[in-house]
Amino acid sequence: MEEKDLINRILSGDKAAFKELFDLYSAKVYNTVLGYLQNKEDAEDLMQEIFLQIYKSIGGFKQDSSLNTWIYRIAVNKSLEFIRNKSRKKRFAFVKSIFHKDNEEYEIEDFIHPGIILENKERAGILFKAIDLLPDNQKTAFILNKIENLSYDEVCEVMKLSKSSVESLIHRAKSNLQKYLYGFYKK
Amino acid sequence: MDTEKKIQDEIDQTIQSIEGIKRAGVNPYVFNKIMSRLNEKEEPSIFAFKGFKLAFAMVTLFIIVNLVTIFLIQKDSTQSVYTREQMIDNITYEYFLKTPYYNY
Repeated sequence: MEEKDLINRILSGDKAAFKELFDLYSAKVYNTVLGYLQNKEDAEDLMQEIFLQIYKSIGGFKQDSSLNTWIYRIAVNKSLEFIRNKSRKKRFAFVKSIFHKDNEEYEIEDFIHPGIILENKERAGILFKAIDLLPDNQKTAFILNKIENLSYDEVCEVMKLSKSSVESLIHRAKSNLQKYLYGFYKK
Repeated sequence: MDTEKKIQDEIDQTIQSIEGIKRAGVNPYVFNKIMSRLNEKEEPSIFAFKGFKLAFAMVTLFIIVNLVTIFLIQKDSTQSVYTREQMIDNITYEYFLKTPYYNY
């Protein structure tokens, strides 16, 4: 009921209601996006886009899922879209670099998640690089479950998948991470 | 064998490194940025309205110019048919095509 009331207030143009929604979900959105993009500035920019999208399309929210799930879905889809666009730009930059040799190469910066305790920062940095290599579905399941601490049921709702599919995705994500990390530590 | 075990330990510790991860704090200015972008979008742009008026005026002018042109062409074509007939008559008279008095 409170959720419905909040939505109605936002739809009637109540800016304070939108601020309430922002306060409720901004940390969830920011941390989900940060898990994908691994860059604070990009995550903040994308977070703005996500909340603008929420504001614009909240009228179309059918309430067949919770607002929480709906917002997580937008955050996940926008993050994946952002990564795809960036990869496309990287490919274009590569093509350009063939013709212009002075073109700088795109480099991924080392990422340290602000929520990691100091003694684990270095290891977590290595793990985030490995997470970045996972296929989209496995990455989403792993980020939502292990970084966002969503339960399996919540991950199922966000990803619109059965529990067994999500369990399988997380299992495969873990075994892929093991492989990537094995390659890293064997060097 | 020891090396493999050491590597596996490293992997396990690395995967466990995100356990107990806390949520990162959100920059407090982000909401203000979102609101300013929303206000930009919500305010009806004066330039957009002026642009619409200008476009409407241009289209109206274009239609008027076209109508005038069509009208002038039609008027001109009726006149030119008349002059053409006159010109043919003149030519025929000039070359004695219609005169009964022409003698070889």
